Parts: sequence; structure tokens; C-alpha cells
Amino acid sequence: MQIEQYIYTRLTADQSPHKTTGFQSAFMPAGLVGKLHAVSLESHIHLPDSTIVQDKRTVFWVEIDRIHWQVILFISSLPEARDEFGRAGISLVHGFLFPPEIWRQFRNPLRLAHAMDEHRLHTIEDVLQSPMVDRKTGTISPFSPGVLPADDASGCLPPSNDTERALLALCYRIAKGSANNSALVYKGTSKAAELLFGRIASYLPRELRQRLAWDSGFDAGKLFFSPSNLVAYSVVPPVTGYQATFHPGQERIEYTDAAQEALIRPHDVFSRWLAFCLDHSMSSDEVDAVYALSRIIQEKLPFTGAAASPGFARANEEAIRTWLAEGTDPLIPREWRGPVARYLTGKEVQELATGGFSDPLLAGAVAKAILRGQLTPSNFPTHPPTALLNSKEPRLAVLGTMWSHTPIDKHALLDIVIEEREQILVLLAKAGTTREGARALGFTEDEIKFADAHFHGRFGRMVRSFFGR
Amino acid sequence: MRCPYCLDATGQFIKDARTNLHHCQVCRSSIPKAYIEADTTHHITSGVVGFSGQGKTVYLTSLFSVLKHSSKYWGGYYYRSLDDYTHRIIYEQVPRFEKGELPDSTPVNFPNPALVHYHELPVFGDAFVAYYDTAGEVFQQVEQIARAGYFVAHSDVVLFIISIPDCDPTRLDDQMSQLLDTYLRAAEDRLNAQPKQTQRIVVIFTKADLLVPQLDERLADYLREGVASWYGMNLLTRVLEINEASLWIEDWLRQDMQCSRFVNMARAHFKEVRFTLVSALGMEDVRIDADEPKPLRVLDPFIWLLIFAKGTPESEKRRIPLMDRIMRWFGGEKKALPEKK
Repeated sequence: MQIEQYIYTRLTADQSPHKTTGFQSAFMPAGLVGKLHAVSLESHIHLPDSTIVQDKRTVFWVEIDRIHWQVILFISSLPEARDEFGRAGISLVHGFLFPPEIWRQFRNPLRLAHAMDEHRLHTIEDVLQSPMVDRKTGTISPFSPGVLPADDASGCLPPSNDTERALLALCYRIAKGSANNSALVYKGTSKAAELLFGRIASYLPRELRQRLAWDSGFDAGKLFFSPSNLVAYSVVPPVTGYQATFHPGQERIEYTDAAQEALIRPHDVFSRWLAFCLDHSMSSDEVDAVYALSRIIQEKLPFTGAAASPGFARANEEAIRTWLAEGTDPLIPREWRGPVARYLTGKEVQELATGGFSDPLLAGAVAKAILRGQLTPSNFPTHPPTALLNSKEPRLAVLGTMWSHTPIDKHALLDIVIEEREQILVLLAKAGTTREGARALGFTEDEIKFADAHFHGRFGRMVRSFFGR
Repeated sequence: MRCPYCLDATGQFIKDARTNLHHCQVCRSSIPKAYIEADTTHHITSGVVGFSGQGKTVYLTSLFSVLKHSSKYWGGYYYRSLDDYTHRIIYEQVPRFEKGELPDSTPVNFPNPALVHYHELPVFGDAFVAYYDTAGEVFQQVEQIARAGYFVAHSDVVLFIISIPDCDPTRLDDQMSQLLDTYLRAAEDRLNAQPKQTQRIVVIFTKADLLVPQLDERLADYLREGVASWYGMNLLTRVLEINEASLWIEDWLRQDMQCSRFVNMARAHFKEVRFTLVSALGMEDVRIDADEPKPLRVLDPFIWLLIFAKGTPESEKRRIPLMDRIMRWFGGEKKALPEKK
């Protein structure tokens, strides 16, 4: 588990391993030579006027051989340095590249930045004299980080007001790539911006977090042509691009237009969870789990057995109902999906979600719909799915005979609470299966005749007395 | 009308009903009101090309300085910035330059244009010029130009900066051709630009004060004369002289400096080619205070920008007044004026 490094600065031809003068990717990560193109890192480097920003950090991810590395670039101006023409404006960029097994441990991506402070090189002389730097090959060797800091939950408190929720919602859309090229612009100091960006990033799933690219000193930058999508500036605002500018002192977000303002409204399963349910600190694994379930429901992906929190289920009842009706997952056979989803109550949908959509829960929900008279053999002749009938839900096992006309399982009937038994037998009678059912239960022919004669209203009481004796 | 910030040519600007401001529909930049309201024939974009340390930023800063002081020669003339970025250049970087401080090394960022409105220039009238100053490192590799050189490749005029004193004298033609070759490959093959159809080039030999020993007497005198006041009177006559000087420099380049390959390549790949000699800091012997720059000939490339502005696609759509036709003739359009019968 090693951390790779990268150096970008202005060198003379004599200093440069490439024998060129000027700003350049001077030393590339030794462990990634041939796999990582310098342009993919350089495109994230914006060097602002050194009189405005002296030290800043840029955070983004690069994909190398299908592995996402988190990159933190420390960008600092060197006010005393002069080039060979006597000009100022020299900067040093020292980058660190973290493999997934490191960065995935941290909710706030900047937690790693604090840990890297002691490893930073601060001047061009430091770089050129560092034993890690190979001036012949133009590479810099990786290092082992030793003991990493613990994840910091205190820096990852959930949004505390509507503005912060709006910022989180916007970041979610930006990371998903559905924000019409919008970027979040923070008007304020690098430090304050980093605190906010870090908190926001910690509530995005890791899969989306790696699509964020932030720059804490983007004064006079060109957003439209930059890969950065979360930026802060202190004096000269960035130009171009669809900017949603957050003014922290006024707790106000300034949008480019009404269409951009609409981006903060919850629009899918995960954003509804972010908007209505996120009220306590959560680990990255928990956030990832919520996002995975959101994608299953939103994109109708194969179900993996995840359970939802009550808040999630409440906020997304309609989406879950739609998923049950239209999803491709074989939880409920195709023919039964529509009716089941249509007739479940809101509470039943939520119970299903919080129970992880287990077969007994689904069977129970179907049985309730049958008991309510919403699903009958006459309005829905297709037999109940075998998977649900085999799920050991006694009510559905008995009610299934309305379709199958098979003998009732007496043991199943006895497993049903007594209040529901009467209702079930009434239904069975209406469906024309009472006689066979009663016979199966051990009623005598006389009792059956008696029950038939007094069917409307007294049959239930009779059955109750039967079971009571 | 092209957006000066992204150079999108659709010319569609959206008016925000809430703020009454205009935005580019592509890059969402706020477009200065004066820029939108101006006659489009006055708009011109220029990109600066040149290796690191050859004087691109110093030249532009020197140009802004000279043009600032030109108000005392040209009646009614002034210039102003059209956005915050340009404002900082004009009111922070230019004064520092005038005190003898060199501008900072240009970082390899996506360039912002310095967007300037020139009001009532003699002969030329109003002009809106966008200057794209790109770091020299960008021009070392085709990949880098493809990343950060978009604006230069799509600008109306390329200000092609070469410092001959910083080149290897035994490989001058080779080094100049190398830069041009790299630029052309990136522009034509990576950035879908068509320099031959749409772009003019002004070759600017910077640090010309150091070139004097290599110049013939005619060119050395021409350089020495080129202080700011030289442009103060009879600018139209000066335009003729600048035109003539371009031909002298081309001859000098071919004959004395043996750089025909570079000249031929430029002529073959651009709509028009002009040559200038510039000393952004001035010669030692004309400086009153050694630290204070006394620039020479920095307005020659600017005059070419203005001349070429008369031949941009925007201006070609209009009915052309006589003076503009004359300028277009200077700019290389032989049919702009009727031939003698």
C-alpha cells in the first residue's frame, strides 16, 4: 500500500529531466510510468495570481487500468523564486496519488491531505535534491504512509440547514453528470471552502465522489474549459460555465438561471433520501448501501437483498411501488407485479422495503390484498406465483386455494390468527371453495349444509365456534 | 458575432430577464454590454504564440502601456477594460511594468482573453480586441496546444513571437520553423482550425534592441524611430511605412538571416503574413531611467491587428467604406481597391 507522487513546476533546461525550459510535469509517479498521461493531471492545474492565492489544494480522481486513484495536488506559489529571465510567478505542485485501499477508508477526501503535510516538498531545491527524485528518468518514487490517521466523523456532520441541503443536492447532480455542466462556486477562503466541500463529499457514495474535482483557489479560472466542478475563489471570480455561486456569509446560492435552480430539487430515489432523511452522521459504507438500493429501485437493477431505512422507504414509496410493478427482478412473477404494486398500501410498501423485500413479506402483502377483496380469481385469474405460495405465509397458502381449488391445508389455517380465519373462510366461501375446504377441515355434511343455509352472517360465527371447541 | 470567451461562432447571446445581462449560450460567459452593442466589424481576436521566455507577456504589457499613453497624441482616444481579468492587467500589471518590474511568468492555464475597448482610434475608429496570452510551454508539444491552445488556433490573428537573441544562431530557421510546424499541426489536425482560410499572422521579432548589430541600417533606424510619439501624427502615413517595413524585414529574414523556410511555410499556411520588429523594453541608449521601459515599435503589430480587422468575415458582410477598403488592400486583399486602367 504505497502513495505515489508527482511534481509539476517551472524548471530550466539544465534542471529538467526532459531538457526543456518552463512549466512542466517534471517528475511522474514511478509506479505509474507508461500508464498515466501527464495531461490528465496537468488539466487540473490552475495557477492563480500569486498575489491572491499562495497555497491551495486540488482534489480529483484519475482512472488508471480501471482503478480510481485519488489525487491531491498541493499548489503553492514560490514568491522568492525567479526564472532565468528574472520573472516571478513560479509555482510548485506536489501531488500525491492514493490507491483505493487508502482513499476509500476516509469519508472526507481532505483527511488525507492533512496527513500528507509532513511529506510535502516546499521548494524547487527540495525537489531537485530529494532522494526520491530520479533526474535521469524524470520519476519520483512512491512511499509507504506508515500509520494513517483515523477517519474523522466530526468533519462529516450532515447538512444542518436548507442551504447546505441544496448544496449537497447540487453536488449530487454534478457528480452524476446530470447538472447541465453546472459547477458549484464558493465565494470565500480556501479553508472554509474545503470544510464545506469535504462535508458534502462525505455524503456522496464513493462511486460518485470520484467524479468530483475541486479546486480551492480558482480565481479567474475558466470553468467551461476546466475539469473542476467544485471551486472556490476569494477575489477574482471564475469566468464561463454554468455557475451556482454560494455566498457563505449570506447563506445564499446565486444561480445562473431558473433551470439551474431547479437542479437542487429532489428528482430521484437517492436525492429524496438526501433531502428528507439525512439527519445523522453516516459512514461511507452506509451511504454506499443507500445509493446501491437507490440505483436498484431507480434503474430497476437486479435486487441484492438490501433493506431500506424507514425514512428511505417513506420518502420513496411511489418509486418503490413503480419498481415492484416494472422491475425486471424475479421477486414477483411478471403477471403479478402490476396488481401487487397497485393494491399495496403505503404502509405495506414501506414494510416491504424496510424488511428487504423478503418472500414472506411479499406473500403477506399479497395475502392482504386478497383479503381486502382487491385480488380475486374473477378479476385476476392467473394463479399466485409458486415462489410466494411456498414462502410459508399461511394466509396465502390457504387463500391460494381460491385459484387452485385444492384442499385447504388445515395446519396452515390453524397458523392464522383467529380474526383473519373468519375473513378467509368467508372469502373462500364466496369463491366457491368453502364446501371442499370445510370438508377438508373435518366438517360433517350436516354442518356444511347448516353453514350454507346460514352463510350470510352466521357462517363465520359458526366457524369460530368450531375452532373454539 | 463570436463570443470572446469561447470563440463560439453561433453568435447567440441570451438575455437574462432577471439581470438584463447577456450570456453566451455555449459557455455562459457574461458578455460586456459595450461588446454586444458595438458594430461587429470592430471585433477582433488575437492569439499570442511563442516559446517560453521569448517575450509574449512582456510585449502585451508593453503594448497596453504604450496605448494607455497614446491618449495624449490621439484626440478623443482612450481604452478601457471590459472585464475584471483585464481590469487587473491594466491597472495592476501595467503600472508594475512601467516601474521596471517584469510581468510574472505566464502559467499554463486555460487563457482568459484580455478584452479591451479602444475608443476613437485615429483612422480606425473604435475597436474591441481580445488578446489570448498562452504560456510558452503550450507550444512545445502538439498535445499541449490541443489542450490549451484552442483560442489561439481559432483567433483571427496570430501574434507569432520570436526572440532571435534567444535562439541558436546556427539553427535559427530550424527553430522558428519548428514552432510554426508544431502550431500548424495542432491547429489543423487537433483543433479543426483552418489558418489558410481564416487566419492572418503577424510575426513579431521581440528583443529587437539586441538585434541591432544584425540589422541593416535601414531597419535599425526604423526600430530606433519607433517610440510612442512616432505614431502620434499622420497615422495613415505611418501605416504606409509599417507596410513597407514589413517587406524590408521579410527581405532581411530571407537574405541576411537565411530563414526562407520559415517565411515560405508561413506564407503557404496563413491568409496573410506580416513582419515586425519590436523592443518591448527599449534600447539602453534611449532609456532615460535604466529601469523605466522605453518601448520601441510595439504599436506596429497592433496596427496590423487593426488593418486585419477590416478583413474579418464579420466585416466582409458589410458595405465597405473607402478607408476600410484601403486598409483591406494593405491587409493583402488585392481586389479591395480597383486596379489602375
